[in-house]
Amino acid sequence: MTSKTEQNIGYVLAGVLFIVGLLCYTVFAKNPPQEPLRIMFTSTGGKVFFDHKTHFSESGYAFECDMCHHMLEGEGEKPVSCGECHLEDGEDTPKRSDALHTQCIGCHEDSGSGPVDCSACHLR
Amino acid sequence: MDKDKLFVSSYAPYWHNGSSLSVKSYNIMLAALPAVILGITQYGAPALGVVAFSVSFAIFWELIMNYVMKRPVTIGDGNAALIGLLFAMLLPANTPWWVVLVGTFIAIVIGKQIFGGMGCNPLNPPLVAIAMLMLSWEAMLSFDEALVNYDLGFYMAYPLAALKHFGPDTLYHYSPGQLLMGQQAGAIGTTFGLGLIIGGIYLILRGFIRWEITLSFLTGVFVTSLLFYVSDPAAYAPPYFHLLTGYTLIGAFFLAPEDASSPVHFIPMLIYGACAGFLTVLIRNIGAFADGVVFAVLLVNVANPLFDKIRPKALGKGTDHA
Amino acid sequence: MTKKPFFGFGRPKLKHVRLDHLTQPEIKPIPLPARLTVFLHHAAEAKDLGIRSGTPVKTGEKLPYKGIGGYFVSPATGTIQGISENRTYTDRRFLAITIQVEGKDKWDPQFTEAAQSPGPETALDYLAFLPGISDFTSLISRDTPLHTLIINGTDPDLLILTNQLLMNASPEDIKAGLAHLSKVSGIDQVMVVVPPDLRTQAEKTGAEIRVAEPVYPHTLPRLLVPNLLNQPLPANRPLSDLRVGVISAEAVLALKTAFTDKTLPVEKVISVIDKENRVTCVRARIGTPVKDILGALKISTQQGDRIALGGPMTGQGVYSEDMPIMHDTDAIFVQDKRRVIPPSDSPCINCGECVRACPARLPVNMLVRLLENGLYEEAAQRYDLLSCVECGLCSYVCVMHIPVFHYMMLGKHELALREATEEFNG
Repeated sequence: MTSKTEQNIGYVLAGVLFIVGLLCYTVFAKNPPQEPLRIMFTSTGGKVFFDHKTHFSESGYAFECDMCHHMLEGEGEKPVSCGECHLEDGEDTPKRSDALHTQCIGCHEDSGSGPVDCSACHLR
Repeated sequence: MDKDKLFVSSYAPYWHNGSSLSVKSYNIMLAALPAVILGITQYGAPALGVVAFSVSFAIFWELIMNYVMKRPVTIGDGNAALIGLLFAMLLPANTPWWVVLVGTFIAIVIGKQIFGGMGCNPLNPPLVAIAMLMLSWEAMLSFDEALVNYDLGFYMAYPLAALKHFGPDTLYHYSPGQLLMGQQAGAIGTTFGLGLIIGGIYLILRGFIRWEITLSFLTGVFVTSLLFYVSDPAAYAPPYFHLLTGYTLIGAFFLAPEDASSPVHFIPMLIYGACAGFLTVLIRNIGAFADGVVFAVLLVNVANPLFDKIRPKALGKGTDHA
Repeated sequence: MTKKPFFGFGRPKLKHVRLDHLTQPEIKPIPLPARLTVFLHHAAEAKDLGIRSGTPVKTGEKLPYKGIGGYFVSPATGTIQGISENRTYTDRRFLAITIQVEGKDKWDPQFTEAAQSPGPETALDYLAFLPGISDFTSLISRDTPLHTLIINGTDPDLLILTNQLLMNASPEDIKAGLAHLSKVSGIDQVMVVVPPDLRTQAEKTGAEIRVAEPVYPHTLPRLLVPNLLNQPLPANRPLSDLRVGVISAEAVLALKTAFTDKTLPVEKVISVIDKENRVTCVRARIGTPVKDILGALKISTQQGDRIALGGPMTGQGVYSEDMPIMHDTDAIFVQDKRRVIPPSDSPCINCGECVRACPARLPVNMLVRLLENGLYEEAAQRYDLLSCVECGLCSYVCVMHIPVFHYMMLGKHELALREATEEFNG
C-alpha cells in the first residue's frame, strides 16, 4: 500500500530524529541547577513537595543558606550531607523525619507563616 | 485481439477521493506540532530529545515487528511516527531515554502490532504505553517530581496534582488564560491548550478526526465537572480547570478519536465521547489518580464494540410493513 | 472533482456535470464499422441459435434462439462471421456473435409490417432490446401491472449526459414517444424526472415533471425512485415492487423512432468520457467495438490504461478495446494509466469514512471485515449486506484503498449463487 517514497520518508525520519535525540541527550543535556529549585522528599507519610527556590531567592524569603543548612563546605557553598557526621546507628542521631519536621514546622511556627498541618505538606 | 494492448480491469469505482493513510498520519502530526513546539521552547533540548527519540524508536519498533512477523514494511504510512509523537507529548520533558524506549515498545508492539497491526488495535497504543508506565514507574510520570529542576516563570506545581492533594484552594495560582497559553506544568505536548485546540479544529475541518467524539468528550468533561462543582464549589474544581489541564485537550482531539479503538456510527460516537469525559472527571474528582484521561479513554476503548452495536436502520430494512 | 476538498468533514459531495460540460452540443455520428459483435447473455451454446457462421443477415432482422427472450436483432446487414461461447468473470456463459458488415443497410421488412398495428404484442415481439433500457419487455408484460412509468431524464452515473442531452434536444419527440409508450404498455400514469436546469425543456413533453437534485448517488434509480415517490423500497427487492417502472428518455425516443419510421432502432447514444474527463456524446451502431468509437474521437489509448463501459463510479471494466457497446451501454469511460489508483489489500483502520458516505446507512466497517473472510451469510443476516444500493462510494472514500465495493458485490454474488443452488437442490 505504501509507496517507496513514503517508506523512505519513514527511514529518513527515524534516522534524523535518532541523531537529534542522541545529541539532545548527550551534548545538550541540561545539568541540574547548582541550587535546587524544588525538592520532592519521599517518606512513608506521603511525599513532600518542597519549594526550595522560594525559600532562598531574593524574590522569596531570601534566607541565607546557613539558616537551614549548618556545616557548609568550602566557601559556604555546598551543604555537607547529614550522614557525614551523624552516624547511621549513632545513639543520639535524630531520625531524618524528626529533624526535618522540627526544622520546617519550627520555623513556620516561629515566623507565623507557612504550613504546619500534615496534609499541607505531605501528598497523599 | 490485440494482446499487446491490454487494459487494467478492476471493479468500480475508478475514481478515488485521493485520501491516504500517510497523508492522514502526517496531517495529525502537523496539527500536534504547535503544542509540541511550545513544549520544546519551554523545556529546551531535553523535551526535543524525548520527542525525537520517541518518534524514532516507534518507527524502529514498527520496522522490527514487520520483519519478525514477516509482513510488508509499514513505516511509510506514518502511523508509527504518529504513535511515537503522541506518546512523547504525554511524557514529562526530562524522561530518561530508556523509558522512551520501553514506552514506544509497549505502544507499538503490545499496543498495536500483536493485535495484527494497523486497524486491529482494540486500545489506543500511546495510552496503553502511558498506562503501563504510570503503573510501573509512578515517579517517572509524576510531573511535580520529574520537573523539579525546571523553573519557567510560572507556578510550577502540576495543576491536577495540586487539586488532588490540596483541593480547590490552590487554584488561585492558575488563571484560565495562563492554562490556555501553556503557562502550566505538565507533559511536553499537553499544556498548550490553544495550540491543541487550533490543531484539533484543523483536523476536524479536514475530516481527519471525527468531530462527534471530540465534542462529546469535551461536553462530557464539562457537564460532569460542572455537576461536581455546583454540588460543592469548595471541594471540586470548576469546569474550565478540568478542560484546560492534564490530558483533557490532547485526549479530546488526538487520543479519543483514534480510528481503530473508537466507534463509527453517530450515536455510539456521542456515547463513547461522553462516557470518556464522564469517567475522566470521575477519576480526577473521586478516584486515585490525579489525571483520569488515560484510564477513562482506555475503558471506553474496551466498550467500543458494544457502543457500535447501536446503529441506524439500514435502507430498506424494517419497512416491509410500512 | 475527483478529489476530496481541502476542508471536508461530511460525506462526499459529487455533483453531476451539466450539459455545458459537453465538448460539442450535438451528437457525433460514428461511421458503421467493418465488424459488429453482439453479446447474448441468455444463450449459452452456439447450437441454441438458428444461425451459424456464414448466414447472411439484414439490418433489423429478428434472429431467434432457444433461451430467455428468444430473439435478438441484427444491427447491420452482412454475414455472420463467427459465434463463440464465452464465460464472464463471474462464470456466467454467454455467446458472442460477430457480424461482417457488407455495404449499405438493407432493412428487414418484417417489423415494418408489424409496426402498422402498434400494440403490446408488437413491442414484445420486436422491442426487447430497445436502446437505453436493459429489458423493455419485462416492463410491459407483468403479472401485476405497474401503475406508473418514470421517464428518466437524468443519468445515473457521474459525467454521463446521454439522457439529459436527448431530453434537452428533443422533448417533442419524447412527447410522441410517450403516446406510443402508453399504447404499448397500457400505463397512463407517466412521470418525467429531470435535473433542475432541464425543467423548462421537459415541460414540453406534457407529462408530470419531477425535479431531482443532480447529486451522486441520489441519481441511482434505487435511490431516485423511492425518493420521488416518497415510498421506501425494501432491501434487495426490485423497483417493480413499488409497482413503477423506470425507462430512460433515450428508450422513449427509440420507441418513437420505431413506430414512426417503422424500423427497429439499432443505434445507441453514448457519452464518451476521455482521459481529461471531457464528455462527447456519440451515436453508434449497437455492437460497434469500443476501439472504433475511440478512434473516431481521436482518443488514444495504451497498455495499462483503463476502459469501463459505464461511468466512473459504477462502470464495468473491460480489458480489451475490441469489446462492443451493447444496447444498454450508457457511457465509455477512459482513464489514463497515470490516474489508475490500484486497490490495496490493506486492513480496514475503522476510520468511518465509508459509514459516513454510505447512502444505505450500512455498517461498512463491519461488512468489510466479514466479507474479507468470506462470511457472506453473516454479512447479510447481521449487517444488512443486501440493503446495499451499489453506488461505490465506500471504495471511493476508503483511506486504505480497500476495494470495498468489490467485496460487497462479491458477497451479493456469492449469496445469489448459494440461493440458486439451494433452489436447484430442492
